[in-house]
Amino acid sequence: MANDEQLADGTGTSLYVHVPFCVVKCGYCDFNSYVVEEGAAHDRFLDALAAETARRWHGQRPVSVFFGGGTPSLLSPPRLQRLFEIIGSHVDLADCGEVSMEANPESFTVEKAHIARAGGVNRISIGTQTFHAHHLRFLDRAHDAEGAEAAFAAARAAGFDNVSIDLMFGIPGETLAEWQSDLERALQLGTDHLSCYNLTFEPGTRLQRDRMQGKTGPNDQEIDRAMFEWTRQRLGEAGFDAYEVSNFAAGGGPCRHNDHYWLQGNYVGVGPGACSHHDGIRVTNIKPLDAWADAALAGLTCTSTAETLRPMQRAAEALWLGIRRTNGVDVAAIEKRLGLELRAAFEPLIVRQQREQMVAYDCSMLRLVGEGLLLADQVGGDYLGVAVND
Amino acid sequence: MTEPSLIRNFSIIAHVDHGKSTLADRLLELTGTVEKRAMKHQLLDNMEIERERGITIKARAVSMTYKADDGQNYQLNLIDTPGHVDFNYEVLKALQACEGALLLVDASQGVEAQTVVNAHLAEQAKLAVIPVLNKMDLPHARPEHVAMQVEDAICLPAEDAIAVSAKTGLHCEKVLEAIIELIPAPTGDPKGKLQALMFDAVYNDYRGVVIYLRVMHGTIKKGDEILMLGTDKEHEVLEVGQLRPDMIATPELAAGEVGYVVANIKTLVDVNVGDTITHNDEKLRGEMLPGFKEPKPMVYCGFYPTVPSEFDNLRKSLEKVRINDSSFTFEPETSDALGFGFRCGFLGLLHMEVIQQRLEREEDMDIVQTAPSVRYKIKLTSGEMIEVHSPSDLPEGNFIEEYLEPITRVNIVVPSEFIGAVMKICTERRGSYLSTDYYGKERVMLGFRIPFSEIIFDFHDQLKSLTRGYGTMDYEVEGFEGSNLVKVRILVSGEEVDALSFLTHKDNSEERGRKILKQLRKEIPRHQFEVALQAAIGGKFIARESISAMRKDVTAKCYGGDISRKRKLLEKQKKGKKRMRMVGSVEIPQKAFLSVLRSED
Repeated sequence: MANDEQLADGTGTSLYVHVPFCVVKCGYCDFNSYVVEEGAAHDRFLDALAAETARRWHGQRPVSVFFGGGTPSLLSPPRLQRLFEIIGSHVDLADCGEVSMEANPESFTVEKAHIARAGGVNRISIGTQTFHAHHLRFLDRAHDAEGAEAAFAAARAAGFDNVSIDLMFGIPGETLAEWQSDLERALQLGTDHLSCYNLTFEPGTRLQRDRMQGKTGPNDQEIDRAMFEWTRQRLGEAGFDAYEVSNFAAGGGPCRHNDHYWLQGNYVGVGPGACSHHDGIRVTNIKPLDAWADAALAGLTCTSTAETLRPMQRAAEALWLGIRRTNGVDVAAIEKRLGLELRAAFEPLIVRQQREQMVAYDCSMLRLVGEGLLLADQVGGDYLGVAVND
Repeated sequence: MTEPSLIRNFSIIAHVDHGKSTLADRLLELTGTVEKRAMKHQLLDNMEIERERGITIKARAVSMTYKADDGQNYQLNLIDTPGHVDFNYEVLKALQACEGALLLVDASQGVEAQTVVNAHLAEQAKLAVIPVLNKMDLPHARPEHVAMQVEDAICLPAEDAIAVSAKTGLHCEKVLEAIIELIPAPTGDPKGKLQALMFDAVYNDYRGVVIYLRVMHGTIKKGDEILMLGTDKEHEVLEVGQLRPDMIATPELAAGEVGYVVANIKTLVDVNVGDTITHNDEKLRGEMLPGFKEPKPMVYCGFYPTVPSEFDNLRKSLEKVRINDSSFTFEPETSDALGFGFRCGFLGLLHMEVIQQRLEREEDMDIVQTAPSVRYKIKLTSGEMIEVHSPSDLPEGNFIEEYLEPITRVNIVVPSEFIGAVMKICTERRGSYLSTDYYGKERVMLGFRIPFSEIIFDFHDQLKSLTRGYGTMDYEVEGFEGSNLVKVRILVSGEEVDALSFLTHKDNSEERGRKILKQLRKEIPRHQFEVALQAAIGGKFIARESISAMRKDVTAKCYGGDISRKRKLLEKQKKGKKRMRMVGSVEIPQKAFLSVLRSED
């Protein structure tokens, strides 16, 4: 069971490191990634990353560090080692409570697992998505079910006691039985944490294009709903804590890094297209790999866009992000943190949501209940609506 | 003043895209009216929309001086005509200002629906018609073949046709000589009582209204007190002149001449095409020329501002657009669903589209347009006849004796292989077959009587797609006939949405009701509850659809920390929601109100 001490409290700063390489671009993925195999490009990326990190991280102790992508595990063993040296020269990774790395089955080996462990990583998240061959093919995944199990075993072999599995449900044509068997297989592996995301059709992806052309489309909502409900029920029975609408923690506890995002915490993102947040200013790095590297290597800022949230917008964002946490979001704490009075603006909406039995609101804690969990995006999105044009 | 025997007044009539404006440009160039390098591509199409759509909406005129082979200098007045059926009345008035017309036919495409209709209008105006075959530069031009079609369709001898290429200039000088030779000089006495036919009027920001006219009898000059006989309005002439093509002031315009008059008129509201201008002095006053009609809208629809607070701006924009298009009308109306807006009347469908685009482009207005409706007549039990063009104006059923709906005569020209397809769509739309005329072996014109309301919804699109683009059509409202009309109400979650209700023939009501509900089902997003869509006549439901409740909406990924992007997306959706209209607790996107316009797909 997770307890509050294990959850972040939103203070401090986290570090996100974006490794933008993949062996293939998956049909559903809208993240900033590139299929580039030349070692020289990888080296140039690492050089630029070293430059950017030196500019942006000033030795403080991070709340958490997250190596994401892309596919960090795609880097060759020496380059992977160099990645940890670069970050390790600015951050004492051994002293940081949570250092996560994303790994994909097609490239994660025992050797790389050992390098990660030695480099200071203490949590591995394996991008598995599904154990069904035809669904893996549909998603353009570059691995098979056995590969995913082997990757999990590799993490364990290197001594990781906090290994998470990413799964995806609602793949077009997927049945409830298939999803149930995916969950069982992940449980059999003895995973410490599960992220279970509903597949979405994101703009600019191959899947979205196919959908526009009528080649594919989302499943019936009733199936998605049954999968979502089954997930919560089954993982509850298995002793997992549903600490967030899509995330479930067993022995390893919640992912503090993601939780820090939901708490509207500050973080620094390094790498092409990486995002950062500092007290209501949200910044996005230059996206194209080469342009980002050019800027970083020239000693220039890598920022491409920035926005400063208006106070009400910041409050609405805090509610939108926080409502997905099972503990809910503390409205009074947001008021105090932002020095704002929120009740007048948000209470009519909250009262309506209470009446519709979507949320519970007691002692300033606002949280999803009942149908609200199944309609979390709508409930949360409505808070943003309050601050639009305010 | 030019001696009438040295004046020729003519028009060019053609189907859309057969090269009318290009030929006009070439004639301007050959007569030296406009230098080649100063020519803007296609000079006569003034408005941006006209040039874009390749059609001339408002008539224009231009005067040229041509030194003919006989050594004489002639004044040639070209009066351009609008190229669309919505403006047939304007076409007729422009033709009545001429003695002759060039009937321009694309030598590669052949006779089309508008070719025939325009030729008939020219006959009606008793004009000398010269057939001209254009686009001879195209490799697939078939002049002999098309000349035969012209002979079959319009009874003009094939050997009289002049084959030209307006694009390259080939044989265009022959056209000028033919105009001198074949078109009669105007008659009329310059010393007689003034009778001038106004064939067009435009609004100019600096000069006010500029009237284009043809002097039939008498003379008009600066300082004259004039009277418009149709509207009984008096004005003082500030300037007269010719269009060459810029406005060039002249001392006077005399019988036979074509030109413009500026008379300090601030708005086009009381300026009607077809009206007769004469002297205000009773002793000098001439008679009204025959055939004047006040413009009467045939198609109506609602325009609503997307943002309710823009109502006043929409009114200002409509007023501005109306300044140079008096044939379009508007009056305020309210809708429960759309709030305050305007009921607007148009000469036809193209006219409606043109106005809508002008509002969007020239005035930068965002508008919601409701489904178009024709003008119905209703005979009440009291014997009174009323006109109705909006379902909400319909009186109670027990006061209605009879419904009358406008009937059109539709002419469709197609290659003969498509006769079956055309028969099918016309009979599906309650059309009755009238006639078949063959032009050559493979081209045929089919005539039908079809209720107007049946052709205002995607008829033209359907014709185009069923005939692989070859079918062309033209229509004319012929009169009103008794009809079995019903008002179909559309209900969303049990509440009537007035802006979606429509009038239709009883036989079509179920099918149209069903199609509209299907379309609405696609446009209205899921709600947290089931949304029922119903179509009803009176209290009887004729169709039903439902939008099932939103049952799941959790994606909840962490977006790799890219919170801005996701939030902005949601904020944009929320802004879009503010533009939705609430009916009860159902949010209807504005797009849905247009869904009634698209019964297909």
